[in-house]
Amino acid sequence: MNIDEVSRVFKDLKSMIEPEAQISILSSNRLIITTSTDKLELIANLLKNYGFDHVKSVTAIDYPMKNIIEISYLISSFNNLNLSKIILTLKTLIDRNKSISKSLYKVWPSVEFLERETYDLMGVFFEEHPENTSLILPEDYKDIRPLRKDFKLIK
Amino acid sequence: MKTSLSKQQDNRKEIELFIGPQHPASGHMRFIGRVDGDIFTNFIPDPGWVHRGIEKIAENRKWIQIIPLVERAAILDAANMNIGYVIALEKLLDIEPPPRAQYLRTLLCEINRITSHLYGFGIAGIMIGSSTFYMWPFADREPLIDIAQLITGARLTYSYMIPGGVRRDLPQGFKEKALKALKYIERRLNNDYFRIFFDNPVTKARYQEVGVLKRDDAIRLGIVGPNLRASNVKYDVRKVEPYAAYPELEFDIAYEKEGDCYARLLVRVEEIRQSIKIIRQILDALPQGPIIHKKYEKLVSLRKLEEYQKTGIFGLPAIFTVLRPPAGEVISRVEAARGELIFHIISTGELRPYRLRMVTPSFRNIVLFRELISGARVMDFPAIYGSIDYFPPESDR
Repeated sequence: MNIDEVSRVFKDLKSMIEPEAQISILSSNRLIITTSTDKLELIANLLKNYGFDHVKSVTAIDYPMKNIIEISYLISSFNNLNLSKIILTLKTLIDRNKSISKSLYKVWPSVEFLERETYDLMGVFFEEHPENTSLILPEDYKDIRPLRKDFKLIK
Repeated sequence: MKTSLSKQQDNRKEIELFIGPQHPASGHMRFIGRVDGDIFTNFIPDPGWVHRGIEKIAENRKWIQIIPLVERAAILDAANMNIGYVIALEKLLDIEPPPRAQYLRTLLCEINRITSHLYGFGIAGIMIGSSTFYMWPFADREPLIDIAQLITGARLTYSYMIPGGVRRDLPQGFKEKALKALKYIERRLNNDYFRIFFDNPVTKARYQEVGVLKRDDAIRLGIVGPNLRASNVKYDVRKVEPYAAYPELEFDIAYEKEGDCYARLLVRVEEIRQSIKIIRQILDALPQGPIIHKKYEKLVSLRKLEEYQKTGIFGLPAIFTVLRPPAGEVISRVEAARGELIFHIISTGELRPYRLRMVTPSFRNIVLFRELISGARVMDFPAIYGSIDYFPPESDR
């Protein structure tokens, strides 16, 4: 994909989402949109209407020093071949102690198992997710969630 | 992972049916279905029985040690797991392997794609009771595993690709042996497999119009790989975002329109044909030159360098153990045998990644069990499971 097309998509998205969110370029074919948790669903709906039709990954990153957890949705498209060349990261930061975010299940059903896994391994509760139950860990698991940084492999 | 039985036992008409977790087919996996007569009214996949915490372990390993680690997600598709991680790491290091290494990488990835699909065929065959079609594809993997062994020295877990290139060059007389193996597998696939399995009326009766996945549903659920392409979506990472030597090679995206179990198998058949085509092109057009980036060639000792020039085997530079890629964030995607594989890596410039996210194709296809089997007959469960080519260790990671 040539740079013109990426910059066209970039401009379109920029005019669409500002000032609720900020967009930046990570590398060629990779864009990042950062927004707050309460605006997340709004932005997600805008992106879906633009043509981004599925989620590839939900990545949660734990930053205990800053007391935040960063949640990234990697979004792309199957239908629109131009957009499928881009992977867009939709980012939001949540408070690490509360660990509550808003589920995007209503916008993209493809997040279902990805968000469930994030809940399971990182302990982020997604409001309005149809099934916030364990997926991989035993359902009576009570310890620190394994992907948190304070969970040590060797004690 | 559910550890208790469900509490809804009030409905006397329905019974709860447990399948697994003791290796129902392709690995340890459990399904909980509710059956009314012989119809599944609800069907829940319950993964996690072979979870090894690859993402967590990766945070505690050096960058170079993660190469064999990520391969363990799917050992029968190790090359594709390997290349996904190595491409991400190379983006961080800002290094490009030389052309010959790109071709050798593609060669191994395509050999793995064929062996992985053959494995899938075997599982699909035994699941609907065709024990011949279990034995044949498993045995026919051997010639291909043998040529992979000639390249890498290992049968399954190669750890062949390293940042900046590959570890070994091709041995003498490789081309003839590879062409022989390809000829054999082509003959088996196009004649014998169709005669005994794909054109068999029993197979067609079990597969056709069973477990239909519509195009819109496939997109909505974010399905990947042959399962997506069998529902008429022409999405293949090798075309959308070409990596390794794929931009220079000629091949078509295999796809079908029906979206049923039979279509999913036919897509894999066509993918094997395309892989054979790709491998033949590679064998003909393999560029000459080094197999490792010049910058890394200088890092090894004189003795290792001499050995590399004499035998074509590149020993890992000791300095790789203290590899520190610059801080940053990368996302890589490759087309593994079962579909798109995503690596999302956060580096803080340390000896180990801060966070490594690995989303495997089987994990993204897991939702198909609920979507396709709820409402299906009990006897359709093995047909649908076999056609999805789901691999629990890859899904659980």
